[in-house]
Amino acid sequence: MTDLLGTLLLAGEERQYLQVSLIPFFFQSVFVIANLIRILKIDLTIIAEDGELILFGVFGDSGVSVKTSSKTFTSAKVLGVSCGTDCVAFYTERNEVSHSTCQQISI
Amino acid sequence: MIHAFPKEVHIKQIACGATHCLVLTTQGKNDALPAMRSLIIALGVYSWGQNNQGQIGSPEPVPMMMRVHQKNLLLVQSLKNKNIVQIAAGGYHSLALTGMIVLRVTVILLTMLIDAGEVYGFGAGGYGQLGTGNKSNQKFPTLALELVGKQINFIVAGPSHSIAISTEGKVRTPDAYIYLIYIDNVIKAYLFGRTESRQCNCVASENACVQPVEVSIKNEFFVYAAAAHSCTYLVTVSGKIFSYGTLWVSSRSSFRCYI
Repeated sequence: MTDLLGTLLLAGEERQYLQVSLIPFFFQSVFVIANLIRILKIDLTIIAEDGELILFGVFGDSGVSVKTSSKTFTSAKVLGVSCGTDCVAFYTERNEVSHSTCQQISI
Repeated sequence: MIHAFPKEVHIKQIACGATHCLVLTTQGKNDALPAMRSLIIALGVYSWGQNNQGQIGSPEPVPMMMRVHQKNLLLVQSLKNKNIVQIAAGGYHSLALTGMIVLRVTVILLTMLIDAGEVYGFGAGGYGQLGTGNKSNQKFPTLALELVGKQINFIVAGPSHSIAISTEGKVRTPDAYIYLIYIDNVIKAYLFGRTESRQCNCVASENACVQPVEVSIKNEFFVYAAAAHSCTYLVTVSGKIFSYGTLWVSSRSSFRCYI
């Protein structure tokens, strides 16, 4: 609950801080998303009760909001997530930490 | 990129800064006594990402121009034995909070608390956001001297400023080894770092609030906080949110939210 509260608070505060440039390849199996999205700027992340990580973002600079789910790229339950200005990272029940490499990539 | 930890290692928290990340790991739970199940023995803080200002707290920082990122997780050696219970990653700085080290002698039921609520900062400190009392960057975790003795129990690192919530009050232990219960609470928050938009509730030279500003609200206890680019949020146990600084809604408009 604390994580969720924190995420929501951060997201509501100021877009500059949460506009994360996410590298689709970082998630390794997000090729479906990668075909559709060039740069995904994450504005909000929520971990649902069942461990699904929901990412809300913006398609490039168009301002069009998109939403994706961790179920697209991992079947593991997501236990924690954190967003930075230029990176996003989370860890799963499999004891794995996934993260971006802090760079912007256009697919 | 995926890093897998051994099964016996428990990932407790993850924190992302602007271009770096921290992971707090623990190892197992102390199930020897039911009442102690929440006491997790900290194992270490791992970090990776950009290290141009020392924000990953490990080997030598590299110049920004080189754009070199540490891609492998590094154990922050100097925090290894500090019983870290919380981490926070800011824009280009990091904070780590120590928990209570409980020493128990079963024969005489002696309980001692050591190093409770100390904060270590590393990385960018140009605005005093490390709490060290100066504006120097720190390559390695450095004790936040300005917060010593303030019983910090929650930390937040924003882009260029930081928040520390303390619980300064009387302490009693209901029995020999049960959780601590605070009574007569005086819960305060300390704001330090960049205060260009008064996010630290002060006006300071060069917008650097080096000395933490104490914030407390009558009959309100802070339980959570968040720090954005130019804004500070404090959440109370009653569910109220207090804010300092400027909240930028868009590039064209903004509103201020002082209390």
